[in-house]
Amino acid sequence: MKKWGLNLVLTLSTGVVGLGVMSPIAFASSYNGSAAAAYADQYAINGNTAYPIYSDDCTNYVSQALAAGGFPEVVDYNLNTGMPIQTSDNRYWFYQDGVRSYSWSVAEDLRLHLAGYTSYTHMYHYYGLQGSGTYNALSYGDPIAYNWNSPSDSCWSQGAGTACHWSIDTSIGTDPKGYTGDLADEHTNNRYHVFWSLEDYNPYAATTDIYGYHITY
Amino acid sequence: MKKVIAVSASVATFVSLCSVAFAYTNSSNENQVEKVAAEALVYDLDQGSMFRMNESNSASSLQVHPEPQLSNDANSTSQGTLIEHLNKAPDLTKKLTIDQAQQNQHRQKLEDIASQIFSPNGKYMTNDMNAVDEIIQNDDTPRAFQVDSGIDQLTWTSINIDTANGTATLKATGDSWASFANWENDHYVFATPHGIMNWTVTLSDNNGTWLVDSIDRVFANGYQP
Repeated sequence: MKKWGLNLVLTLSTGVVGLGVMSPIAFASSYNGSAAAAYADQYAINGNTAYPIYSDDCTNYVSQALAAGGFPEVVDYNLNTGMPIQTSDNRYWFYQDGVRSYSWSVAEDLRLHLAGYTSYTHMYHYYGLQGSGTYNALSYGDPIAYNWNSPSDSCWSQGAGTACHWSIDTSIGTDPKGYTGDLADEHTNNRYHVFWSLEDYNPYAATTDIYGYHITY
Repeated sequence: MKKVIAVSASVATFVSLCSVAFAYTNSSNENQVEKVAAEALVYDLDQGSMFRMNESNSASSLQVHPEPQLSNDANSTSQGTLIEHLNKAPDLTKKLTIDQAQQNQHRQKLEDIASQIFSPNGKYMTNDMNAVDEIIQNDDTPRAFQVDSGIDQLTWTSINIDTANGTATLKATGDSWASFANWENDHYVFATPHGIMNWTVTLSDNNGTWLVDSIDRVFANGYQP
C-alpha cells in the first residue's frame, strides 16, 4: 500500500454535464504520484507563475500538482463556443486557458470533487496529534485536507470532513522542526517538506481533523 | 416659575440617575461578555490538554496569560522547548501512561466547564461538543499529547452589545499557543506552535447570564499552519 510504483491502468473517464456542455472523453493512464510530488517540491516555496497565485493558494497549488501527476481533468465547455467556462459544479475539476472550476482553487470544492465525483480515491481520516515518527497510509502525490474545527463554520463547514486547507504528501524524512515521518508541501504559508499533520505549526492540532486522499488509479 | 424649575431639577436628577445606571449597566455587560468570551477562547484551546483541564476547577480557571517565552517568529525552527504552567506537570522523563480515571476526569471537566461558558443550544455546544469523544480517545495515545496551552496578548478589537435583543458580538486578536510532547524512540520531543488568530465570538443573554453561542477563529495572514 505504501509508496507504490506505477500501476499501468487504462481508464475511461467521461463527464456528463448540464447546460449543454459535454466534457471530453479521456483515456487516462495511471496517476503518477511521483511526478505530482516532484512538481510540488519544485514549486513549494515559489509558485509556478504559469498559474495565478492567490492569497489563499493551498488548493490551487495542490490542484496543479495533481494535474502534473495526470489526475484527470473534467472540463466544462460552452457548447456553442467550445471554450471552457468557469463553474461551481464540483463534477468538474480543471484549469484551462485561464479558466478554472471552483474545485480547482477552493478547498471544500476540491474535497467534494475528489470525494463525490471520482472513483479514484480512498480517504483516510486522522484526528488530533499524530506524533513525530508516524507515517500515514498515503503515497507520494496524495493530497491531504485539514479541518481546524473552528466550531462555527469558518471554512464553510458542512459537517464532518469539510476541508479548510490542503497539502500534498511528497516524501519521508525530518522536517525543519525535527519531526520525522511523512512530509508534505503546502501553499498559503509556503512550506517545503513539513511534517504531514502540520501539528508542529498548529496550536489547535489536538482538535484538528485530517483527511488523506489516496489516489488509487 | 419656581415650580417649573423644581420640576426641571427633578427631571434633570432623574435623567442623570438614569444615565449613571445605564453607564453602569453597559459597563457591567461589557465586563461580563469580555470575561466569558475570553474563557471560551481559552477553553477552545485548552480542551485538548487533559492536564490543563484536570487542573481547572471552573470556567474562571481559564485565564489569558502573557507568555514571554513564545518565539517572535511563529515559523521559527527552535521549537524544542516545552512551555507549560501546570501546577502538576506530568513527568516527561519517561513514557507516560494515562489511566481511565484521568480520561474520565478530562471528560467531566470538559462537560462541566463548557456548560458554564457556552449556551446549550448555540453552535459551539452543538458542533464542538461532538468532538469530546475524539478528544478523550486521543488521551489514550500518550505517544503524542497536548501538555498545556494558552493565549498571549488577547486584544478586543470590537465589542457590540445589543441589550434589547440580548445578543453580543466581540472580535479579538491574540497569539494562541499549545505545547506538545511526543515520544520518539526513547524520549519525548517537544513542539510549541503558536500563531496570531482573529476571533469572532457571539453571545446571548440566557436568563440574565451571558453565554457564548459561537466562536469563529481564523489564522491571521502568515500564521496558517
